[in-house]
Amino acid sequence: MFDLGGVSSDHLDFLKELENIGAGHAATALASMLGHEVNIQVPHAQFCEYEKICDILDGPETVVAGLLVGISDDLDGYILLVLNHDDAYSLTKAIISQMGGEVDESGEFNEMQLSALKELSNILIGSYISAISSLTGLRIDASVPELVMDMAGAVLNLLVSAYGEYSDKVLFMETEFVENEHSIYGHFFLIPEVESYKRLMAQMGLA
Amino acid sequence: MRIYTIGVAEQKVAQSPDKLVTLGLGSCIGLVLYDPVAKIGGMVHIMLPTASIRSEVTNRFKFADTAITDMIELVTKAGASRQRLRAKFAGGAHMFHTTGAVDIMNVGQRNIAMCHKILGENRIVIDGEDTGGSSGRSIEFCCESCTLSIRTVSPRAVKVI
Repeated sequence: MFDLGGVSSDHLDFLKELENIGAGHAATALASMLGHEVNIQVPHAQFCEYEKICDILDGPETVVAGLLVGISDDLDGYILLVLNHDDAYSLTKAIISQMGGEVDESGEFNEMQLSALKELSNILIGSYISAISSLTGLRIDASVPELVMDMAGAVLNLLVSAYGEYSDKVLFMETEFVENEHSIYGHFFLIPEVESYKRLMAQMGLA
Repeated sequence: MRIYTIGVAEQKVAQSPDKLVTLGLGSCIGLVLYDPVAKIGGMVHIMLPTASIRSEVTNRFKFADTAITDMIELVTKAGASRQRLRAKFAGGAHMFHTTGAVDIMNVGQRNIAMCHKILGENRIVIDGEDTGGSSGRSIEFCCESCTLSIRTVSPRAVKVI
């Protein structure tokens, strides 16, 4: 049986490095969208029990924006980016104002903000994928991101579908983006298919 | 009255006037087995339809087949009549439609089908279900009225079955 819980600290270090590079690229991209500097805090990568992930996201009923990209070619699986609803809202508001567009003050996303959010996730996930690609030499194709806004528990059920049979734990990576002293947490879930995960580690000499 | 919140792959049996709650169901299923006369009910938060040959069953409440079998025993042990047992359940949504190289997307449908199969095999009447679709759900079962309230945030709505 493949046990994600039994992954070595070497693997975790490598995944942290991936997260670090991916987040660095993402921050640069984000800065150019916002027109000012964006810093990143030291990212976390850990194997976390499914239940605890919902706690990190303030409980299973918290409304989040979940952005899913299917990956294929040398690495098969999914990448899921989860942003807190309010973080996503303020971030897209900042992007739209920077572009001189109309901002909806109601707290609900308007069309412009929704497309900004998709674009933003495209860039964040894209930076992440290019980090994995350049670090490992593996070719990765990504699908168009799909946006779902719903309860955190429901969005994260995706991880259960992917790994529930194998393990009670999932790989959880968190990056804190700091812009204008305001922190935005981006939660990345790398969800490789089990064979692909082994290939990823083998490629890095960590198998 | 006490309100019990049930986590993923957990269960709880309670009786009137208590309530049973589980939050943020996506492809997972929240299922209640209850006796409407004794007003005893048990709720379980199911993740997957069945254990595959590759996996080791460390928690029987994770899988629909073993969870329902065990819940029948637990509620009857708590005083519910086996003959009067009924079921209500919600969940099994399809949250994302992106299809990657790995097919993990129809878990919701497989969960729903397995619940029907196991309940049918045990001749338990399904008194109500709110399944499928693409919305996350939070549910609350009231042991007194034996009603199941289903709340969604997208769209914002409450439904009672």
